[in-house]
Amino acid sequence: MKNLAEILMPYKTIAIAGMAKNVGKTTTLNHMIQGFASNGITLGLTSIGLDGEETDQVTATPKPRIFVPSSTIIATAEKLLTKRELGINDAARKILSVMDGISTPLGRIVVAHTLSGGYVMLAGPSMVSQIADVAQTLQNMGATKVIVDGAVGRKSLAVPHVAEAVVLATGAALSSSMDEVITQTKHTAELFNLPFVGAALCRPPSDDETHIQGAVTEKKLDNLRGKHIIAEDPSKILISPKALAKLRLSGGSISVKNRSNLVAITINPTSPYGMGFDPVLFLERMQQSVDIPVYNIGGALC
Amino acid sequence: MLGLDNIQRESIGLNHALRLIMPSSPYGVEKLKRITPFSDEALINQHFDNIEKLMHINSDALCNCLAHFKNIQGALTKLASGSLNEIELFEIKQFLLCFEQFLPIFNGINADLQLLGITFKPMTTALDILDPKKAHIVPFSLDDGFSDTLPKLRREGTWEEQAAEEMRIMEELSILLRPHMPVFVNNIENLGNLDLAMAKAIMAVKYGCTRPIISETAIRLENMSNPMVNATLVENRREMTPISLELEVGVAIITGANMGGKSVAIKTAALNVALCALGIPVFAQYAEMPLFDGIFIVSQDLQNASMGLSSFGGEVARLRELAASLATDFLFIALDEPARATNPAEGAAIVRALTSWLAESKSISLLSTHYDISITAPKVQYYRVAGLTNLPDKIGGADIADYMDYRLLWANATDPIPKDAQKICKMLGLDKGLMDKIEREYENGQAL
Repeated sequence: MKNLAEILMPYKTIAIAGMAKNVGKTTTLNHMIQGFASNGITLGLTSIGLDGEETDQVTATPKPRIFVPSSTIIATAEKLLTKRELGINDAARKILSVMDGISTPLGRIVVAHTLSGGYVMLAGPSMVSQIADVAQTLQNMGATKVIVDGAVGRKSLAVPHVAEAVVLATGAALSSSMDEVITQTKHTAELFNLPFVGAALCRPPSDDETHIQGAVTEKKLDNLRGKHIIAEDPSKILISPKALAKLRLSGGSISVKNRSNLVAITINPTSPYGMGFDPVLFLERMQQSVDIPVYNIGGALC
Repeated sequence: MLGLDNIQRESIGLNHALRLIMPSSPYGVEKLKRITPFSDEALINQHFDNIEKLMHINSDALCNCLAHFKNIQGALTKLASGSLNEIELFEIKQFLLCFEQFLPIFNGINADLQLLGITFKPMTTALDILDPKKAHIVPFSLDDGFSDTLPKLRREGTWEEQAAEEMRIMEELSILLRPHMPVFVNNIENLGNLDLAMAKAIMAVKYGCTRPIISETAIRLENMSNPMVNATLVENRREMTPISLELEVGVAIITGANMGGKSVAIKTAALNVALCALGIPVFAQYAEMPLFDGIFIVSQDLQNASMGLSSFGGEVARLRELAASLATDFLFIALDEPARATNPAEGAAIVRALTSWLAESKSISLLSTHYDISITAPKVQYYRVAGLTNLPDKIGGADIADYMDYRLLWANATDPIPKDAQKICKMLGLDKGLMDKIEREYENGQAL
């Protein structure tokens, strides 16, 4: 089986999503960075927003720190970048650009090129269109591959279509039951890779098709048995695995207008909340339930 | 601005016209946002001289260069009292590199143009501070050779030692840059002025605007138009009929048909007076006007309903404000059908009184009315909308605009008010029974 870096080699922009906190999203990112760096790729890195909790962590104990090699191009918020402390932002760097059109609660987005290896903290914009802008700027500044450190939980589903490929991190921190972790992850993976109909559907919908602009809820589905539902993107689909199965049994289906492309899943069998899972069994069962490669990136919690 | 609030600026098309001016740099944009009227004749003439010169050059290279400037006001404010961080130092360096490219281009252009009141000071010494190796590239790093110690600390020092040296470099660079503050301030001010003048010139060329001549007291506007009105007409594949006006101190009264464009004429005159005051070429083939102390607009569609007054009450409140400044200031006053919401007998009386009151002032007033108020008095002149001409008996579904002549013609106080209302009723195919009755009323003289 190919390793994660090899799987991701064809894609220029890659987003990482997490099923929950502490499932190893940052470990996955660090793992990918090391994998690409050893292939001589100039990486561009940014992140989707920083939620309130993480902002507090910036001032207290910073958590999602990322080790980057020399010659990496990063896009992060200015107040975060100028916070020069060992372990937060300690790579020597060169400022390449200030994107004054995009501002975040932590200031404007600054693009910098690292001159040495070191830790950086990433905080990008939270709007999808701005993320696309930042990813483009990173490429313009010389990045041959861009990784977007994505959001956690349901929000993570909203971003993938700015990236050519998505990697989903999951792990024991999601639930103490392995069955539950596998069911939920499988469901999310399925939402990511729902059939894609194209954003501009030229023909009028046929009788058995229903376009849903906003959220696709289980309540709405009650009246739509047997219908082919077309949603905006996977983040709008708020239904349980059971409800999806029921829709399919009735002869219905769901597809999306915005393509996303989940190409791999990483698992973290350990949990900060208690007992972890047997790594071998967890990997085996996860791999059996999805048809994309699964990797145990294990190791330290993050 | 000019004593006009936002609703009034929107209504006469001033906001629309200002949006046609598109500076290239953040400094020009800022100047446009804070645009103020000129009060000094020499200064406005100098400004129009500059714009006229800029109208004759190929602006591409200059605008392209101006567009690269980023706003560094935040960094400069911080520099005045404190130490800059690496991002702010980057911004300053980026600005200085832009300026290095800009200055020779400007000097090349200015050798011919000799623009007045726009001067730049070279900034190479400031750039040398941030670019000691004279590499002239945009990226900035504290490792760019500012310290002999840092490279060694990067190899062997602790992280704390590196951070302390970085801090020292940032402080030192800030101290070295601080004496250059006045040059930054001067050049940014001039960049803003140049950019705004350039943007006005580009707009003037694009829309065929004219440099107005600053007169003592008289207004002469030949074939003027209003881009906002034009923008709406273009959608219907029409174009605004250019209108001309000559106004002296005193009152000019515009009479004429319904739908004859009286309001448009008043707004267009007010727009062009406002543009001139702001040092912007005007939408006319020829323009002459004085510098006013202010512009005063009374128009029913502008009276603020939220003041809790009826439309007539709103007008009265506005006239009270006018009385306060009329005694002292030289104003351009535009009144669009004052007192039209009241009954015709009282309305006409009020307009007659208003006319003679305004005629006694030293300001210039332009007033439109429906009422027959024929006052023969010094300092009161009349215009009428040329109106409906060459009419067929019936035009069915066709557009009145096809038969309306919107030009303003000189008129005498004693000229009869045109009876276009009757014609319009007929043209629009009013019910025959009703039309007959209207015609009978006209014959009986009741409608007069």
